[in-house]
Amino acid sequence: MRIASFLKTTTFRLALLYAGLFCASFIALFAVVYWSADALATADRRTLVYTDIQGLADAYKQGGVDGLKEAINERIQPVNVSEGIYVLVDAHYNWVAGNITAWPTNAQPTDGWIRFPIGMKIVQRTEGPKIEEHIIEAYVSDLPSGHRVLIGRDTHTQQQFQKAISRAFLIWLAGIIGLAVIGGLIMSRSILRRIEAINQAAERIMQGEVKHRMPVRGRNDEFDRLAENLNAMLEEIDRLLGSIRAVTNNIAHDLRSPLNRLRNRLEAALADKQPEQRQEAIERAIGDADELLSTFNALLSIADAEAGTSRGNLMPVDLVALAHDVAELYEPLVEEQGLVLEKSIAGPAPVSGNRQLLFQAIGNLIDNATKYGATGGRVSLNVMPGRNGSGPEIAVADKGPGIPATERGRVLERFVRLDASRSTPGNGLGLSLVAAIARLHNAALSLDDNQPGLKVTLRFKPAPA
Amino acid sequence: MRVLVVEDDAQTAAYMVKGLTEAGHTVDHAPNGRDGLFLGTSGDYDAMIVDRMLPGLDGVSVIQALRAANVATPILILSALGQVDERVTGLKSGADDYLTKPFAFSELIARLEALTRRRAPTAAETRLAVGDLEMDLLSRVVKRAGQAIELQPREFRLLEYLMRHAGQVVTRTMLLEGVWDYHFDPQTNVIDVHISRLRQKIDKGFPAPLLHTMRGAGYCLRADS
Repeated sequence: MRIASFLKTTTFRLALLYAGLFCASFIALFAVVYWSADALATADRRTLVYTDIQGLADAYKQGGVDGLKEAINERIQPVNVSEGIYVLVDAHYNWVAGNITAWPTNAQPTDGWIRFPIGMKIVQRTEGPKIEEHIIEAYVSDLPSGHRVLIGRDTHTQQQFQKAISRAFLIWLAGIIGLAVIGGLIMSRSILRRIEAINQAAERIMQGEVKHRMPVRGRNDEFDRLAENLNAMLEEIDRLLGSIRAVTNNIAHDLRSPLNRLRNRLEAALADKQPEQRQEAIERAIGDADELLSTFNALLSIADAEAGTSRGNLMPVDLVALAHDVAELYEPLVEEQGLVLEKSIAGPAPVSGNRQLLFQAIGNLIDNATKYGATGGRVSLNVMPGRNGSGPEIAVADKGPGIPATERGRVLERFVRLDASRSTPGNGLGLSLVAAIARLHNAALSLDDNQPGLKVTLRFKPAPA
Repeated sequence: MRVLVVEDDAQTAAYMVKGLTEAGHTVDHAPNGRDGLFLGTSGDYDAMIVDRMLPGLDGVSVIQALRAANVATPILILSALGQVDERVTGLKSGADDYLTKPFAFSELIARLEALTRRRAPTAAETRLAVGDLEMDLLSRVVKRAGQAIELQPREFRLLEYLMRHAGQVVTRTMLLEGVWDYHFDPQTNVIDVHISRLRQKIDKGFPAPLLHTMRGAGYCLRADS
């Protein structure tokens, strides 16, 4: 992997940002230490100078200019380790005493003190003496006699100290930046490697290896969780694609036969010379077309209910009245099949719903019970009021052969019909529509064994108080 | 009768104009909402068929504008928007009926004729009669050739609906809407069973049947054969 690609990664940028923040706080800390150390050293030096001034002032008070001169000369004796810088001049700046040869001409005043450079002769061990420029900080006093005295201290030590800690600081800073960059590179490399693994897996999936999955390392860290979630999502997509494929295949299959029949009829009608038979063939063709249209309408109704577009328009519906309406419409149909419609309708059972769709759902269930439970003798329609905590229920049951437990989930899918021969009329969409309408109403749809037969129950959520 | 068709799809419009003309109606066609509104307010029509999705001015706005202009002509919305909500929106705008595309032409004709008939004042009617079949709406007694016929309440309403639309073709969805007040495609012969029961009661034992099945369309109650 190229360095350039590292530098663009978020991890690396985060590492840099972190290092930057760290450096900034380091610099701030350094500044505080530097300035307070400097202030402390300056204050110490000035205290020494003040003490000197006191001493020399005493000497002046007792012995005048001569006493002062004597005191200065004593202080600049080589045996004295005092690092004081002294110079005494008269009113005309003529040298009187001191360890520098002239009054400094290039002095810079700072808050009552003056600073000026002087050349210092430094004795070295190996080579000859050399001249170093040192900055002297000094205090100037004008004496009543017109003389002026300068008392100062060399700041060289302090400056050396400052230089030393600055150098140390710079070395540390460089080290920290170096470590941050290296750490950032290592960190982004390891994170990048895991992200790259996910990217590569995604690319393979996009290139058609739909069964490929994201790598999971088993560390149970956030990358594993990401990979697991992505894998779960891929499974769900795979499942949905599968069901879409099945639906598409089923649509193609289920619509091809009636279309084919329609085409054959029309072809036959075209060939038919007798107007009556021709008329009849055309009427049948229209019947076929109507059947196709109703299949499409059913598909659209399911799509509408699934999209939940009607959810905003749910109104109070009384399941009791609705059940009576459905029973009233379907009872003759049930009876015509030689079955009895048993009603056990108890209220109150108010739900929030779409009356038209609920009617259609219950109608579909009774229609199914009549069609597939024809041998059972009776179809029952049940409404139960909601009781503490549970909402109202409506159930349709038959005493026919029922549906094996393993198939109960599958029959809710579109176009799934259990009689492989597809001899009974129907399009395999009835229960799918019921399931979609149940979802729209947040009602639980369950298919149970009626021993024998099938019992389909819609359990509504309790109405909000 | 004079019918105005407001429909932007040229093929559907041509199909409707042709069919309606063949059924003996005078048809005007407006290809967009603005023309539809203009013709609808200026012309004297017996019925209008309005598409919902129209260029310029949509169908619902056209109908609202027509109703605001005191045009009381019966209006049938013909739309691909078939959801329950869309139906309600359409009917609330002032339309009298709603038919979803794709539609059977027989259904369109039947509904259109029912609409124009509905216009006639029926409030004062207390008796309905078709041939020798009589219905007293107050005492709720039905007689055929003077012979009383016992009907269940819903059968009574079914017959009442058929008698009010006597001589017209009534489709299954019209019956489901008109008698049961539900609108959907029942996918089964649930209405046919009700009709055959009613037929048992009013036609059995009489020489001339009144309740006729119109193949591919629906039913028709009429006296002559």
